[in-house]
Amino acid sequence: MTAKLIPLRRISGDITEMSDEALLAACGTGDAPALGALFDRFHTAVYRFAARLPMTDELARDDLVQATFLEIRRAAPSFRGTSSVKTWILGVAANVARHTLRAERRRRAHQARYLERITDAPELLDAQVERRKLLARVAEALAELPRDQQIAFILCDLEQLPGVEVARVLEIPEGTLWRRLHTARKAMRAAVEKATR
Amino acid sequence: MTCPSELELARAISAGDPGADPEGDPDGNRDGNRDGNREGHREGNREGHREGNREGNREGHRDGHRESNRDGNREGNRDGHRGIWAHLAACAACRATWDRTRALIDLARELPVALPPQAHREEVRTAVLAAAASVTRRPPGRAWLVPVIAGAAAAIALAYLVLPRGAAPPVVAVAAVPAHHGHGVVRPHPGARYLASASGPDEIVQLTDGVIDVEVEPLAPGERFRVVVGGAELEVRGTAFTVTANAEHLTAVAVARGRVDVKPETGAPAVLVTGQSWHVAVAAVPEQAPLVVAPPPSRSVPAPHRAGLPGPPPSPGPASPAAPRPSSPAPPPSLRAASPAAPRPASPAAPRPASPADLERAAYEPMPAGGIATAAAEPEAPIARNPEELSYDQAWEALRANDFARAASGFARVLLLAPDSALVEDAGFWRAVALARGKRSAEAMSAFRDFLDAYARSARTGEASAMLGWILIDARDYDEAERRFRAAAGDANAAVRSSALAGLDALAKRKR
Repeated sequence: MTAKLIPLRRISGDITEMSDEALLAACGTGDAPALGALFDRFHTAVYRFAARLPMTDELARDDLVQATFLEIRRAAPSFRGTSSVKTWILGVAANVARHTLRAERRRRAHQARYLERITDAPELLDAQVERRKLLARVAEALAELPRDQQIAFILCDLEQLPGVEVARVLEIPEGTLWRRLHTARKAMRAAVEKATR
Repeated sequence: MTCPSELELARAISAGDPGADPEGDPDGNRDGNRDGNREGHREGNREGHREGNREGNREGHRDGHRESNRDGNREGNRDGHRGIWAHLAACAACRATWDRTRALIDLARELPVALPPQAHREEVRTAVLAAAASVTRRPPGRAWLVPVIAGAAAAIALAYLVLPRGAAPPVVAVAAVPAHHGHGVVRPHPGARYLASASGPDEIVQLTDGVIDVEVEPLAPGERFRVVVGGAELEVRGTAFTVTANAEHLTAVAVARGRVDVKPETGAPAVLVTGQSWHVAVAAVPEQAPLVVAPPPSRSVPAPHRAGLPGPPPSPGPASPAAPRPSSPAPPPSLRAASPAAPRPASPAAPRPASPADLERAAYEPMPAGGIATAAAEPEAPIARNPEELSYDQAWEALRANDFARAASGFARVLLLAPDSALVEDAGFWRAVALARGKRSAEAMSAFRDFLDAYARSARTGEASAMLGWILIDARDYDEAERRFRAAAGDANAAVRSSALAGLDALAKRKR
């Protein structure tokens, strides 16, 4: 694995024309506009990741997004170009999620609200009702997974990020990632299929 | 024929649909390229459309192609060589696993993903940049806080004494010399005092006193330029105008051209266009003597974690008439000093008494805006507000305005921004109160428990325990409710004790 050398430099010129890597490098030098530009480019992805974590409600979601971008600013100098910036940023979000949102009680409370949101639907046709129930079961199965498996499933299967890069940014062996993913899929598959029998 | 291992299959599933070529390499590349291109186009178009410029499209296309092609090629190559897809064509069992897993993934991608409104995301963006700026040390060559008058050392020293501590030195104008700040030019009139700062594309000119003419060039999407005077704010977008302030109070705005959104400290916001002006009514100018929030009785002896912070003035009377009605949030140091932005409570007299019948209901209610005890204090020099203090202030104001969601979010932000701050204890408590008031009972329970776990010796444990007890009654968790009420029954505050006893009575009745 060869790491790319990202030059550390401050922003000059039109910020909208800068590559993600250059912005991240500038951010690593403490350049606030670069952090703002990174937020503009990637906050939707981070919000989406946060929203997909079953435990997160609006409050926790904002916390996670803020903490992620502050951590990005701190950790930017450690970016080595071995993954895309988007994968790296979502990896930071995943690590923040693992470290800051562990309280199990909180998780259960949020999980209940999350499932409520999915199943709470106005009058629907039968087929739609069935579909919603199925989705609720998927959400429930995702919520029941251990946090590491949730993250693997969200990043690889829902965000469709390359597994090799995900393993790198999560700082775990590639085999570990595939195992988590396999276990997560298997458990979710079983839960959903059980519900549809 | 040997079936692939579970991990090999897991990896292959991530790579995408199986190809027909047993070697997998050509299809792997092709699939990777195709997916990459498609994803790149889609991302690029979406980003570009959102930003509304062609650059976004071009960037998105280029980045999408580059990133996704690289990923696609790599994944395709690696997985294709394993011949798994060829195996799938021949092995019904593996193929079934594949299909079921793909179906699950497709289904999971349909899960709703609710994103907050753009305005809310802007708020978060500002908070992030403000927090980042607070720890950023700008190198001399980068800072755009430029002195207006060369050699005005004496003036800067004077301003340092007048303006917020901890902030960058303010500009004090002794002559009308224009200063270029990011997207704007500020022309201060003699004697004007202002501070310019930038958190990324969010530029703020903080005017303390005097008159400045501001000319702002058209801003790109996402960029902001604001003039802040005390609690008032002017949001501008490519315009020229004049702002007048008196002792951190906005007194007049005149727009030469363009448009300015005026958000005064009090009264309705206004939108000014070319030729229009706004003047504060004389009667509406806040008095110089600030109002501060009286501390709750439980805080009459400063908690250890507050040591070193400016202490609140003495309360004019009992500040918490109805426990466990939470006493007013302890303001951050900035609010205890002169804070013209703090809304004037309806009644500056002693807090209203509470009837015993209110006790149970009061468990869920923070002090309403009109009921917060206030007392006059000696004017003090303003103290700079760092991001967590600012967030605390905003959350506090939101709580008083019964905007519980925003209050809870703001207090949570304090916990995030400064986990070691002296405000954390209060923020944790008030976040729980805001959640309870917002009827988010499950989260409130969790927040109160977290608070009690973290601050077992807090002066607020009684209040928190009693409030948690009432929520637990609603949740029919009578055992824990009883424990919480018993813990509160020995509180130093008579009202808290009274509420706890009422809670125990209520429990006894329910058990009967």
